[in-house]
Amino acid sequence: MSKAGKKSSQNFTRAELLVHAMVIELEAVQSYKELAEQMEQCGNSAVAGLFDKMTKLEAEHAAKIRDTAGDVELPDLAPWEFRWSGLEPPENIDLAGVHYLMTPHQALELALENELSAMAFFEAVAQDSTDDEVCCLAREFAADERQHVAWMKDWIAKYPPPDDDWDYDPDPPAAMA
Amino acid sequence: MSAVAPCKLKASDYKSDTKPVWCPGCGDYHVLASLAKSIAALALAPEQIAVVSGIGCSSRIPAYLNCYGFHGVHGRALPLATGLKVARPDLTVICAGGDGDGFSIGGNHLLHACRRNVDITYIVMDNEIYGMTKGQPSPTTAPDWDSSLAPGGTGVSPFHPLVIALASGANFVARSFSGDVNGTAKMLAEAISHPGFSFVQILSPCVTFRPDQREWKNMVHPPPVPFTTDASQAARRVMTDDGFNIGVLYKGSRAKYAQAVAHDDAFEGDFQNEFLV
Amino acid sequence: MSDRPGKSFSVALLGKGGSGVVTAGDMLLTAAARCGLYGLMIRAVGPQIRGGESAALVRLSPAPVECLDDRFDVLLGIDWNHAERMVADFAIDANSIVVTDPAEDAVPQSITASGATERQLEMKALADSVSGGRANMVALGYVAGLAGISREALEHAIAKKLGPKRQESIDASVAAAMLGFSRTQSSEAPQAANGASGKRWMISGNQATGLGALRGGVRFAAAYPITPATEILEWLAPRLLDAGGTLTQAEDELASINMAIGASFGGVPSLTATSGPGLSLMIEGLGLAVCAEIPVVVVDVMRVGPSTGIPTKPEQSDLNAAVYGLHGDAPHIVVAPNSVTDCVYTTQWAVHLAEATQAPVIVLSDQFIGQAIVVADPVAEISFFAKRKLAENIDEAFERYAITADGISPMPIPGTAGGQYTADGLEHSSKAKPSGSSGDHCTQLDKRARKIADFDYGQHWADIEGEGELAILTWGSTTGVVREALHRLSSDVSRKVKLIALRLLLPVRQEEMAAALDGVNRLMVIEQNHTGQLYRLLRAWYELPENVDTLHRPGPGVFRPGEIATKINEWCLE
Repeated sequence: MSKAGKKSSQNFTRAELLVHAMVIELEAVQSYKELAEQMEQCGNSAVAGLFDKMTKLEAEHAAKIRDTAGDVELPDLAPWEFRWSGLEPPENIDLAGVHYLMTPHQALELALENELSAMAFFEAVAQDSTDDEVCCLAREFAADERQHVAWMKDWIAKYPPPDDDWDYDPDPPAAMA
Repeated sequence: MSAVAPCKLKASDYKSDTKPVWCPGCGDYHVLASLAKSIAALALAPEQIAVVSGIGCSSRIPAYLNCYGFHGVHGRALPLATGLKVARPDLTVICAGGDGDGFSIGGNHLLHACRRNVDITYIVMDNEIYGMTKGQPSPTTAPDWDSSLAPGGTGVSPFHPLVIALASGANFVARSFSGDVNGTAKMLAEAISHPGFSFVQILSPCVTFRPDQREWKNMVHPPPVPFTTDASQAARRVMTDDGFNIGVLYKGSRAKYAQAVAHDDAFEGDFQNEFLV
Repeated sequence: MSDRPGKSFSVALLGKGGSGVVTAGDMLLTAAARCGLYGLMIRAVGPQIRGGESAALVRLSPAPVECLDDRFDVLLGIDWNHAERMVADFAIDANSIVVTDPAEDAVPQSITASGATERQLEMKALADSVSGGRANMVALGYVAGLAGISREALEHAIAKKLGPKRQESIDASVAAAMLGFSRTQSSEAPQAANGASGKRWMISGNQATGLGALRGGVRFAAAYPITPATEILEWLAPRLLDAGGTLTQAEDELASINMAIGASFGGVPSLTATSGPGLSLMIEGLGLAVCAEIPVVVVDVMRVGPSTGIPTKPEQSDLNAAVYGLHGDAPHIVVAPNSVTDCVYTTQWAVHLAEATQAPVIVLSDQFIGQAIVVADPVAEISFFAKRKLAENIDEAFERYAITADGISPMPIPGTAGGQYTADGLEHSSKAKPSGSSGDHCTQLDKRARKIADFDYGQHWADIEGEGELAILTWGSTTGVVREALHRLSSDVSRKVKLIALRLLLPVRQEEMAAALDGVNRLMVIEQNHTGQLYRLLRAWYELPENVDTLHRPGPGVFRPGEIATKINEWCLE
């Protein structure tokens, strides 16, 4: 939905930036956790394991941001009041890319996309901000994400790209109703 | 920024520990997330909400929430929800299901639920397919979509749920896309808050039987104009759009169904005197 | 003067649409009640909605009556338009009187063939002599005179029916009625014993069903109109509001059953009423109520089936559908009232059973007891009331479908914090999670069966009257006919016959039935359907005496006490 959800990344306050950063990680934790469970339900343990790891990484990152926030009182925003550049927080997995037979390589590609989006989000905030303190903090967050991007790239390299028939399933789906 | 709410739970607190049967990648996961976010934002207590459904993939949604739920029989979610809301007007009643459940086997109930205008919110997760029975055409499937049950396509024009809802008297009519989780959450919060019968069609891709619907995220777009309070204008708009306009289409102000007075256990009325001769 | 209903007085008032025979019949019944008599009225109709021929079949008696007599003492025709189409409803003989207006066509040959005495009454002319007078009031006065009803009672009945705001109309009607009344010399009917006038109710079975529902605690009804059940819903609609409840009109019976289930899930005792075709549509919903364990009462006012059948006539032919219609192993309860006034008792009991067992209960009424209006003794209050075992003070270990000794699991009502669960038509675990395991399926099946089978139904499962080595087993509206037939038998026959009228058709009560049949060596099963549905149910589930006879025939004609008495007599002599 190219035209929808485009919101200005200008003029974040420090508290707003912190709450955006926090929610990116918290939603990512939720999203990876649910995907890990789904993959486990479908018997794709390899990808479930990767998503579990991602859940832990994002949880650690959330804790780090919470430390950064310290005593700052974070605003209480409704989900639709956040100013994401797309429809969702940048580190939420795009469900359109999820498949029960997906390979670790593909899963990590999706995760990489997320880290890149997060990096882009913070860079945009930094670039658009007129407040030095906010700008500085956004750069810091962008740098963290850049670090994650590097990790993800190393990680992906350990897994071969999928075969052409990666989604071939000789059995039909189950009828349940 | 929202005011301090009476029941402040996180969206995740509204989810149950039951694991969905849905395929990974299914749009219904997003609808579940949106619904949880909307009721969290409205600060509704989980025990004051009842989510009522019929049969189908999307109709499994009540069990995945930590609210009261009723997973009924195929096509009858709206009457279940209607009876519940009329008898218990204090509850927030949300009805949910799919396009087969709501537009085919339950089609008659949709007309009358819109007309009756009981204060419930009806969410249809529309993937243009019967998913749980392995991919048969539904009332919203395109006529040329090839399937085992209708080789070469049904040759039958799809049903236009939003127009039907408008014509039948729904008081709030909207279309959303599951991938727009936060936009959908906002829309659902509005629908739940709007008095009378609110109808929200959510385009929710079936990645298993309609992998082509993975493209929906690139096809949906916001409406060119904001909602209207004129039902005929709304109908004209939605009949001429491409089916991928998302947003609130119509907000009406028709009086909601007259609510019963609260159930009075202390009633000791005497109706037998009328029989005396 | 005898208190045997056999000594009653039966009148059939016939006329084309607009002639007002039903109104006259209603007034006759009211006036009789005022005189301390008991009575019963049936409306018989032809195939037209308006304008077709119509008849009020009225029976008056010094003792309570539950069925029509074998014959009519009087057949009064305001006119004889299409009377042949209804002639089967009028059993008249050489001792009957046929009253006819000389201004109308002659009495049809099919009626005169009975040999009945013909009397002339210038109904039209007499009515025309009074401003605003109508022929039906002249007819009313005449038959009231024949029935020995007082002028005062007649005036009272007319005023009551027409209402306080229509004095002119009342005056005209009374004047016309008195013209008819004065044409009779003396009563030709049994009178109420002196001082017999006590408090009486005038009530139809459908109203009685509504009253039983209200007394039982029903506060939500879903309604889809269908003959002959609609009056239950129409009676309930305003009264439920008065009682703090509500009635919602549904778009079809699929909706009405599900609305009732939804409301009951919300904690409000709920009911819907229908007839055969509607019951068929509700069956899937009933299965849901079984599986999700939601109390709900469905009243089926049976009519002639299958399909649209004969909507205005009775038949006891939905028993199989009510007992066996649900798919899967689906324990539920089926009860049947055995008289018009028993509709109060049985419906109230049904609400109590549904609420106590968290299961659906089908009440099998029928067109005869549903639409018959009786004058009867007031129906006493009984102590059944809706009482559901609710889950309160819920802790972490709470399970909605907990396996309990009696099979009944405490139910949380929406709004109860911590009790959230999803009621489900999918098989589930005790924690209300969907489950495909054979373990959960078996334990839940056992639990649902146990709560129905082990429930204490007390003495209400059947009405048992008399003693003897012969037993008549029947149910529903046929009971009243059998009761009267047994009254008519000579005491040396009747003292050998026991009557067992089943109120509880499902679950079966094998122990209680064995006790009731102890010492019985021959049994006759009487019911109004083509295949002997109760007979076959008994054969399947009960130990029966070696000799079992069956008397069953379909509607639309109801059994008459004389034919049953004859049959029992023959049977006793075999």
